[in-house]
Order: sequence, then C-alpha cells, then structure tokens
Amino acid sequence: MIIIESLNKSFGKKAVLKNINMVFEKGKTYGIVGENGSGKTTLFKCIAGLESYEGLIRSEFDKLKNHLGFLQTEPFYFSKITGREYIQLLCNARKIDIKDIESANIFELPLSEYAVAYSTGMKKKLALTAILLLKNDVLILDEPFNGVDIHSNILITEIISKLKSLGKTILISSHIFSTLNETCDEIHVLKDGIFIKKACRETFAALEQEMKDFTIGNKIERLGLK
Amino acid sequence: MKYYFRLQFKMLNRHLIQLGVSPLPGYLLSVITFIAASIYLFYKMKFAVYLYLFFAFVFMASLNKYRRNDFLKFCFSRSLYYTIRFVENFLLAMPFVFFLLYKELFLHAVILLALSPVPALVNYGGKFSAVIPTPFHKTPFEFLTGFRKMFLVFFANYALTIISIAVRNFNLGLFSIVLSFLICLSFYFEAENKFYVWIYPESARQFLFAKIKTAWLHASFLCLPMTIALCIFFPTQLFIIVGFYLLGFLYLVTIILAKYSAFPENINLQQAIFIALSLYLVPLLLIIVPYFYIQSVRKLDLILK
Repeated sequence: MIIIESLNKSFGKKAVLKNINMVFEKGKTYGIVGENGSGKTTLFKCIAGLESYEGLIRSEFDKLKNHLGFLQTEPFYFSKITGREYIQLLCNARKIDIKDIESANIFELPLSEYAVAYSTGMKKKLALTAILLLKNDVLILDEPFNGVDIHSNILITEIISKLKSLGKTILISSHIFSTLNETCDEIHVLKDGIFIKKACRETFAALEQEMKDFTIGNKIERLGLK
Repeated sequence: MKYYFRLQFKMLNRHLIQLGVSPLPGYLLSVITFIAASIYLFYKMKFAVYLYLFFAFVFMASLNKYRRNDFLKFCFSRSLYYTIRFVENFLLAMPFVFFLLYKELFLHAVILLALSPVPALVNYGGKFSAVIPTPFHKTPFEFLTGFRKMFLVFFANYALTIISIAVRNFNLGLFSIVLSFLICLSFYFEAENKFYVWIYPESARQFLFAKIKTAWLHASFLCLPMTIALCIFFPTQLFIIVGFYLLGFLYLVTIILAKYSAFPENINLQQAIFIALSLYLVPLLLIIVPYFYIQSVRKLDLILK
C-alpha cells in the first residue's frame, strides 16, 4: 500500500503537482492518464524518490524504493553495454543472483548486442525484463506500451495480470486507453497536477468516451484538413 | 547556418555555467590555459610541433560523432552540412594556427589550415557495434564501458611497458603505469543517470565503499601485471614503482568521491581545481578525500535514503 498525503512538487515557480492525496492499495492496478505535461512522470518519480517533494509518501515498507520497480518512459542505457550486462548490472545492484538470463528473455531480445543500438520498443522491453527479474512488490510502469509491437503488447498485458494475481501493487500510465481498460482496477485522470477524476471498471467506458469528446472537441475541424 | 552557430555558442555558455564558471571568465581561462599549455609543450619537447598538429586534429575529430553528424545531415542540405562542418573545423583549428604563426612555423600553420576540412569527411562512432569481450562483465559498468572505449590505448600502453623493459628505460615504464591509472580515472569523469544509483538498496556509505572496492579490483586487473613486470625488471626501483601504484589507487578513490560529491551533476570546476592542486601537493589529499567523502554521503543520501 502506498499513501500519498498533501504532495506538492514545483520546478522553480511552476507547480507540477498540487496537493495530491491518494491511496494505492496492495494487489491493485491503477491507471494514471493525462495529457503530456500533466505531471504523471513527476508523480512517479516522487513516489520512487527520484525527485524531492513536499508532503508525505508512506508505504508498508521501511524503504519503498527498495521494493519498487520503475520502468521509465525512456530508459537510459550506457553506451557499450549489452542487454545481458544491463540485466546483470540491475541484478547486482539489488543483490539478486541470476543464473539463467536467457530463459528470462521472454521478449527474445538480442542480449549479446549493445542496448543503445536497440529500437525504442526493444529498449522498453529490456528495461521491463530487468525490472521483472528484481522481484519487486510495487511496480511503476511509465508508458510500458510505448513503441512496443503488438505481440509484446499482448505479453505485457498478460504479465500485468499475473503480477496483479501475485498481489503486487501496480501503477501504469498509458496513452492507449484500451491497454488500461484490460489491466486496471481504477483509472485516475491527472490534469495540471491535480487528480480531477476517478473511474472504476464499471465506468471505464464512460470515462473513455468523456476523454475522447473532451480531447477531440472541434480540434480536427480547426485544422481545416482538405 | 547563422542560427546553428548562435545555438552552439549558447550551448557552450550553458556548459560553462554547468561547470560552475561564468562564460566570460570561462573563455579567458580557456585562452590562458591553452597558451600556457602550448608554451609548455614547445618548451619541453624537441618535436612538439608534430604532437601539436596531432592534438589539433584530435580536437577537430572530437566533433566527428556519427549520431551528431547524422542529425546535422538530417537537418541541413548536403552542401550546407559540409559548409557547417568545415567552418566548425576552421574555428577549432584557429587557436592552433595562431600559435604556430606566433612560433613562426608558417608552413605547419598553412598545412593545418589546409587540412582542417579533412576530419569533417570522416564519420565514426555509430557503425562500429562489435561487442568487445572484457573481464568485467560480471560487475558492470564503469570498467566494462570504459575498457571497451579505451581498449586500444590499453594495448598500446602495455606495448609501452614492454618497450621500457626492452630498452631499459625505467621512466617510460613508470609513465605506462601512470597512464593506465589516468585512463581508469577517466571512467569516473561523467556522472551516471540517477536511476543507476537509485536502484541500489544500500546506504550512501555502503554504496561508496562497494564502488571503491570494485574500482580497486578492476584497476588491479589492468595495472597489476605491468607493475609486477616493472618490479621484476627494475628491482632497485621497487619502492618508487609500489609508491606510484599506491598513489594511483589513492587518486582512484579521490576521483570516485569527487564524482559523487557533485552527483547528479558532473565534476565541477571547484572539484577539478582541488584535484589539480593535490597533484602538485599530494598531502592535500588528507583534507580533500574526507571533504569529498562527506559531500558524497550528503549527495547520495538524497537518492538512497
């Protein structure tokens, strides 16, 4: 369980997160949606402890970050490091003895090649593979479906379902509503640093329609496409 | 093109500010350092001009990054791309040309100027993707990535050790040890992405000691064979060899602590000055190392807490 109380985060004079109060329960999957710049990644970084903040973030763990797997929007890779060595690096950091990396390579990545040479989707899949091997209790997946092919998309959705059944707490952000629809228990809409709406499974369809109407509006007409 | 160079100028200023120095004093300092280093080189070496020309071309080649130039090719037309690259190289060559003119080495100045467009015709860094095997794959990343970038220099350095033994030149052998440690130190110049520190569950103190331990083990793997060889072939100089070897480790610890004392930023000017001062006055390390250690723990605590 993660409890967020009065969370505020600013970059200079710009307030990115404004008085966020939220409870993420153990064993549930939460979807966070919002436009670019709404504060999703900043919220995730605050929970992970990668950004300083005002307010309180509590959990059942002594140090949440040591039980947290964080898949970043754009995972960073060192030059001259192979996929296998990247996994080894993360496992070493968390003191996990990994005997057989190959069998864990469910996305069939070319682990002997340099990770920087991977495509966007492959980079994402490599980071996800490593995070899954770390056996975390809480997972933050920032845009896990971005740039990923359709087959891997299906696989990631199944992985999330499995993690949920194992009692993990999962936070996902995605621009692809259908992926959240399949995996989440709740979806929260973040706008300008404030949670403005919450939907449960029964109301996902209504939320999706509402977001579509709001997002599209008359913008297509304004383009004057001919 | 004008906008591109204006942007480059702005980026350069931002780099200087990030280093902790205002642009104007930064440029002044760079000019003074360049002139002083040039004078020193010509004062110390008989054939300095050839090394000087080599440095000029290395300096120009530093802009020859495959991805960078690929981006420029994508943004500009073919002719404009080459114009930009030639102008860049011309600007980089100018300080060297001026100094050569000052030294009345007119022919060398003309050759440098005439050949300055050549490095712009070569691109490297992107297509070479062969994975170089290293002994460090079990504990990535500093020595693993560093070795892959510098393995040719290491081989050359080992050759230097062998030559020093063959020609009975002890100073050359000692230089090869110093160079090996300098290369190892360079693996720690750049700060890694925050994520690669955040992932560790240890305290700041444990994290630092683990980093130092890995560095010692890996640096030993690279530097110990040449040190032992020199000890065997120059037994009378044993104390000097061991002294330099231990000093190398001491500076390795210093650079690791300096790196994390600035983290997540890169080592700044203040830390660089401290390290440079300690090179002249080694006992200064007694103050600098604990200072860097305290700063490192403070900086790492923010991420590892």
